Amino acid sequence: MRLIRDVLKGKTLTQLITIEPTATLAEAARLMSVWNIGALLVIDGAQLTGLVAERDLVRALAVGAPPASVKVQDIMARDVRAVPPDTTADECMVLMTQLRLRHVTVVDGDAVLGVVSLGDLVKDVVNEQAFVIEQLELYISRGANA
Amino acid sequence: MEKQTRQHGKGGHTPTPADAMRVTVFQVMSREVICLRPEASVESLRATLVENGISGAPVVDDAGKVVGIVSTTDVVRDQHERGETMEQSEQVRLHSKGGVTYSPGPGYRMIDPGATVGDVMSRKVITIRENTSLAQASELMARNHVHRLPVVSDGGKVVGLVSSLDILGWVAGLS
Repeated sequence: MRLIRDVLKGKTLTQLITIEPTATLAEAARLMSVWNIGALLVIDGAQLTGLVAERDLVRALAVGAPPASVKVQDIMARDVRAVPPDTTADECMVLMTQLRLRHVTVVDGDAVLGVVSLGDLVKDVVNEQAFVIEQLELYISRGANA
Repeated sequence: MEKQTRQHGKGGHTPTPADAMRVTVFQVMSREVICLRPEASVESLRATLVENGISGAPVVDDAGKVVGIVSTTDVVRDQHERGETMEQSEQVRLHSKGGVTYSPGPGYRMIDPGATVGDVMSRKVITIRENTSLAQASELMARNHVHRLPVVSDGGKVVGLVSSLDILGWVAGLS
């Protein structure tokens, strides 16, 4: 059973990409574009205060918000959905599907460990299937009684 | 994990809402678009998304016209709803001609070989043209809760794709 801590370990991007609540939408757009990610953790000092996603930025642009002056704190989601690292990948899929989330934060007590996206979960499924196939091929090539 | 924060570069012109009404998707869209066929398997869909580092793709028919769109959301929802894992389902029915039902051991994930892209895709597709403004594209994404819009020609064929990250890249001055 794969755990979210394993999914985090398998991610290519190992850094936590964060932004301050007083940063502008333009700054958030730049961070997302440079890192090719769809969400940023909003950190005020050492405190996780929100999550801002590409969806939030596009919504703001759609209503004519000026990217150079509107702040991240004006559009971010303050109700950050978080799971502990021992959550299974399947439990996380259920949570994200039912709550229609594209990103979920992984926390261990007060420590923020990372963010898992739907894409990370799909990648994990593909990797797991490749592993099972490899093991089955080994099993067949060696013989069931080897 | 190491924490990393980058600040927006100073001195560059940040686009205004007026710029977004003037600039068209032609300037920011991806021109090499990976499209899928409805008869492709969900398994190959997952692999295509992962191998190409994309989160969604248009689905096209024989003539290259858009008939649907799929994303990681559809893939994960499908995985959840069809109960592919033993944690969620005691038995998994394989769609074989004989209707054979297998009950695999714990920890084994069963793949439904009958599931296709056509089964999981969204058939409601919002398409745009090359001369659609970024303001209009943003509004369409926000109103329809989507992250990508296929750009189509007069004949309805896919000529590009605009994602929300493409628009944010423009806002950031990177495109």
